[in-house]
Amino acid sequence: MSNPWIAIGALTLVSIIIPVSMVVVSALLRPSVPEQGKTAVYESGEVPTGDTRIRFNIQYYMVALLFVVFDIETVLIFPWTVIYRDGVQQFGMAQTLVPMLVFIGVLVVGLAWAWRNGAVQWVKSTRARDTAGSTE
Amino acid sequence: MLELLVGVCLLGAFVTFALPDEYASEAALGISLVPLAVSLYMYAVFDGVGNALLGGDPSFETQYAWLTLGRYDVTWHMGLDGISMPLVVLATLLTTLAILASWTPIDERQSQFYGLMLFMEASLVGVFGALDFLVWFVFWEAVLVPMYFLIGVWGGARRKYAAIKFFVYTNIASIVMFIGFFGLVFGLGDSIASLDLPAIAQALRAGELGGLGLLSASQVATLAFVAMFLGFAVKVPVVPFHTWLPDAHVEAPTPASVMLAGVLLKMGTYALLRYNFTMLPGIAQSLAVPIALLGVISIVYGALLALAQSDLKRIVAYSSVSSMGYVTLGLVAYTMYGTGGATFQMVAHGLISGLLFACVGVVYNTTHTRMVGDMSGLADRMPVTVGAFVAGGFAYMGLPLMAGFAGEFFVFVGTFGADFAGAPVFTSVGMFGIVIVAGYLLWSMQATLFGPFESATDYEVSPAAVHDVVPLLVLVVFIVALGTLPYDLAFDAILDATEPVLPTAGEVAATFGGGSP
Amino acid sequence: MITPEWAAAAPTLVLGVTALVLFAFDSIDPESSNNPVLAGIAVVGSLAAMGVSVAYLVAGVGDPAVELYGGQLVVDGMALFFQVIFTSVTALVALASYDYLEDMRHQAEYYILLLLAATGMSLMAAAGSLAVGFVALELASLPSYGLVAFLKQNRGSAEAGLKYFLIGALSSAVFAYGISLVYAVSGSLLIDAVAGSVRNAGQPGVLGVGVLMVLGGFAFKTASVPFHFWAPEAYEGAPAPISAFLSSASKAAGFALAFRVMTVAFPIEGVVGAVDWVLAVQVLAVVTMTLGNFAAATQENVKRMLAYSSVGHAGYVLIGLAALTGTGDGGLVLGAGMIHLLVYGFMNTGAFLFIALAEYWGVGRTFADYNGLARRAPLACVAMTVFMFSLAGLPVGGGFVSKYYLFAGAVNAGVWWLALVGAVNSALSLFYYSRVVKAMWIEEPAEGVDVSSYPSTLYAAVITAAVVTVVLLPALGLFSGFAFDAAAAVLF
Repeated sequence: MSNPWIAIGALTLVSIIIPVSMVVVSALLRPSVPEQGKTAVYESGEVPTGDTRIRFNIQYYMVALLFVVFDIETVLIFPWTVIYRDGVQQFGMAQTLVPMLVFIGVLVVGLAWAWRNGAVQWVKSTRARDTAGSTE
Repeated sequence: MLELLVGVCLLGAFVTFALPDEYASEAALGISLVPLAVSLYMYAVFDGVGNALLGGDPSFETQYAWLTLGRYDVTWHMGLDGISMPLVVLATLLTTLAILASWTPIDERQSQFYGLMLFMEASLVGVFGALDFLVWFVFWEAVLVPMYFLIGVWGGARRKYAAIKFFVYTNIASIVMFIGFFGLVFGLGDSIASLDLPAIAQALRAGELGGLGLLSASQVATLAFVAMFLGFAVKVPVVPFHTWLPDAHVEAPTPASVMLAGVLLKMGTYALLRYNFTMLPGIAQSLAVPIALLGVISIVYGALLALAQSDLKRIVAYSSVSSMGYVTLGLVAYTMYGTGGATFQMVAHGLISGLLFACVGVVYNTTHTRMVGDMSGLADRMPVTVGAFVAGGFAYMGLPLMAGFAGEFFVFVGTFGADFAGAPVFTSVGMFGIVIVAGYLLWSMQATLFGPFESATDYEVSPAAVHDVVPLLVLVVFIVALGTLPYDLAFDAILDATEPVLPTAGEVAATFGGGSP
Repeated sequence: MITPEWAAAAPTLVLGVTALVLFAFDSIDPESSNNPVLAGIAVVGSLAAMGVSVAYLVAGVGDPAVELYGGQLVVDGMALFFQVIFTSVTALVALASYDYLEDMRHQAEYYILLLLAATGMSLMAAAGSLAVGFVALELASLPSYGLVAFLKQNRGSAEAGLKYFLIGALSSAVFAYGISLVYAVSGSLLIDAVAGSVRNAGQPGVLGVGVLMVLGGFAFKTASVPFHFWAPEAYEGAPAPISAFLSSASKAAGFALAFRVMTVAFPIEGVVGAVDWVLAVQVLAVVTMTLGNFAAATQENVKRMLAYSSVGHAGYVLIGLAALTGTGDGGLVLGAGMIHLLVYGFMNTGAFLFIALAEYWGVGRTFADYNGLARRAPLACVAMTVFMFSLAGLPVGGGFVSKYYLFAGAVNAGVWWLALVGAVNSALSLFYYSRVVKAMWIEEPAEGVDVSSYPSTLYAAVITAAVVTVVLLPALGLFSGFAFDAAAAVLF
């Protein structure tokens, strides 16, 4: 019996060799024409402005967090719906339905709280409000 | 009964602590009269027989379950025998008198001061009454806390240093002692099922001690003895572990000094008697010469140091080191009069040193100086105080018919006949200490109390107030009474309790005495 | 036993429901501030949970252990004992916070996070599988990060929150990776099942690394060396009641999970071939208590001193695991660890709450700033004195008895040198604890400290903690049986 690790090792080797060899071969073959435009971040397209460290509005995170919560919820609800009928037959309605209702209930309480505390309310930043005020 | 005593003091401490400062002093005195009365009543109806640790029948005995840790039960076990009964009375008496003596000098944060005094009284009664190791240790440590504050808050100029020094010294000593004692407990293995002191003492004297790890049984016993001796020696204090004492005494307010010298030092010798000398007589006898040497050094060196001082309080403080040396010497003698006399000397010295410190306090309250050279001829201005001072001084020197004479006499009789090597020599050198005592006390009294009146400070020197003098007179009465009727008042009971401590030959062998340790 | 079975989880459920009630209340009135109702709900909820867990403990619900959801949750004596600790600390902290948070914003969030963290801790104590343990640990940790950074305008608080979060995230990752390695070897996440399959598992190296990584996760939560770096920063920067909460309850939660996982899943006689974790814990215990104590002795800031002393106490409690050498009675020393955590829960919470009181008054943070405080507030200073001496192991509070239990248990298990190191450290600790006492009572008061108001709930919390600390000295005998029985039940 040959060791299965040999195959894996070979695959790793090949996957390293191919990209490296492509870079090396093209570097050897291509003509070298240095030009300023080529060193730009986007060789064709928009000229980038500013750096990457800009402040996003905190509301993006709020929405993203709420999304994650409900994403997880769907992940749980899907398999639950699939086995729901069998579950009711085997364990009865109470043991099958109630836990999910409790789970959703907790999420609803959380959502209501987040809503009431302005998580989904698109508040403008003070700077945005100021510039909006000055244009009027 | 003992629980009542402790409970009243604790409750009184809390009540006093919560009172406004104006009423604290009177309230504390009133409250402290209750435990005093209770302890005197207990003394009157005392019917303990034998030694509480060695199969005797202690008076006022109570025992309730408290904790269990694996094999070891811890019980609330209290009781008094002939050794502890006089000390409990000493503690309650001196607390009451010290509270009275505080009326003049303590003029700030009174309610806290008196609350701490009563808390300390509760702990002291607990130390002398406890018959279970853990209960005893709880009280033993609890005594430190109020004393730390008494020195630290109401003390003199260098009070912070003195308080910390006292606290650190005695705490490290406690840890060393604790470890030593638990060495014994673990060495005893399955032969004990509790931390009950009588059970442990009897098991040790029956030779149940086993080895521990790499150590043989006799090594365990020796190491434990040394650890416990070091732990208690700091408290006594035995030279060279005495250096905290003068600092603590000088900086402490006078009432705290009274308690410190009168009762707290006795905790050390009491523990030495209860633990080292009762539990491991064999080791104690084989180490008798070095211990006696330490005792004699304490006597002579302490006295010489006292001779070199000019601060009255320092003189009395160092003389305490000297006097406690007699107790150590008497304990190690292992004769009827030696052990009994040492116990008697604890009580006698408690009263006498309490009296002297109280006198120094009264003098200081009036003249605001304690330096021998700063005053003279006080006898004209404050005759009663000076009278008490002189009485105390003579009691210290061992004037017959006073408690000091009885105590020292018993100790010397006992030690002279002891059968460790060189006992007569040690005794003679120890007796020489009395000569030095006479020297320094006569000198300082003559310089300060007699001759033409003079004072380096500009205070009006007039007779002390009644509440200042009463404690002095009460103490003089007790000292004379104890010196006149030593047997009836205390010594019979003490001998009854200390006699079982003297080991039989079998017990000496069982606790690794006789041969080489 | 109890019917229905799920009712055994009632302490956890009550805490969770209280958090939800707070959510609901805050949804109705989001703009409220300094509302006694918020503090009231939190206190009542945690007290109710405490009542339930005490009642269960006394009634013997956890004996024999109730297994819920196929063993994912285990409600036994140990779980209930720890739940008593968490709930009582939570109640004290919630009570004290009412005054501390006066006029601050986001109070509802504060109590919500507090209760959610308590829920997570309660779940940690009852976790029957490594997965539940991990989730519960996260549930306890994530709100804690927020709570540490609660004073978000304060640089120290924000910095502490960030540090706590980063080290927490790192150690969570280590912990999760450790769990995965253990799973790889044993093929199960259930703690009981892991124990069965690690005994003769192949790949001892993988198992050993896994066990050590899991241990690392616990070291973070309990603020033990080598994951203790966050503790001084977090305790110092956080609002003082939260420092109390973290250093008492959160630490106890870490130990709750550690005790169960290490003793049940990796019984030492079964895994000693792969890794001698008892030896590792012994080293950790010695290093933790020594380092904690020495670092505490050099501090000038009282809160930071307490933070390091908290590290030191983690070292003492680690003795509970480090003495499980197989000789002697392991239940004794493990139970002693639990008892020390119970006493510590009160005395340490009280000490930090006293600091909260000092912060409320605007007293500074160093020892010198506490000078003469006893003249302004004697009652609170008596309480603080009790805490300090009890932490040092003087017999004025339960700390003496619990340390005695720990050291005696260690000697009983044959590791007398651990007890010796502990005793020496304990004696050392008196030095820095008494500095606080000295400052309060003996030094002359500093100028400019204005103790004009006496916040009632903060006072009540401090005094309650002090009274319980003192009462535990004689009364510990009544409780100790529960702890020893619970520990013995876990071990065998």
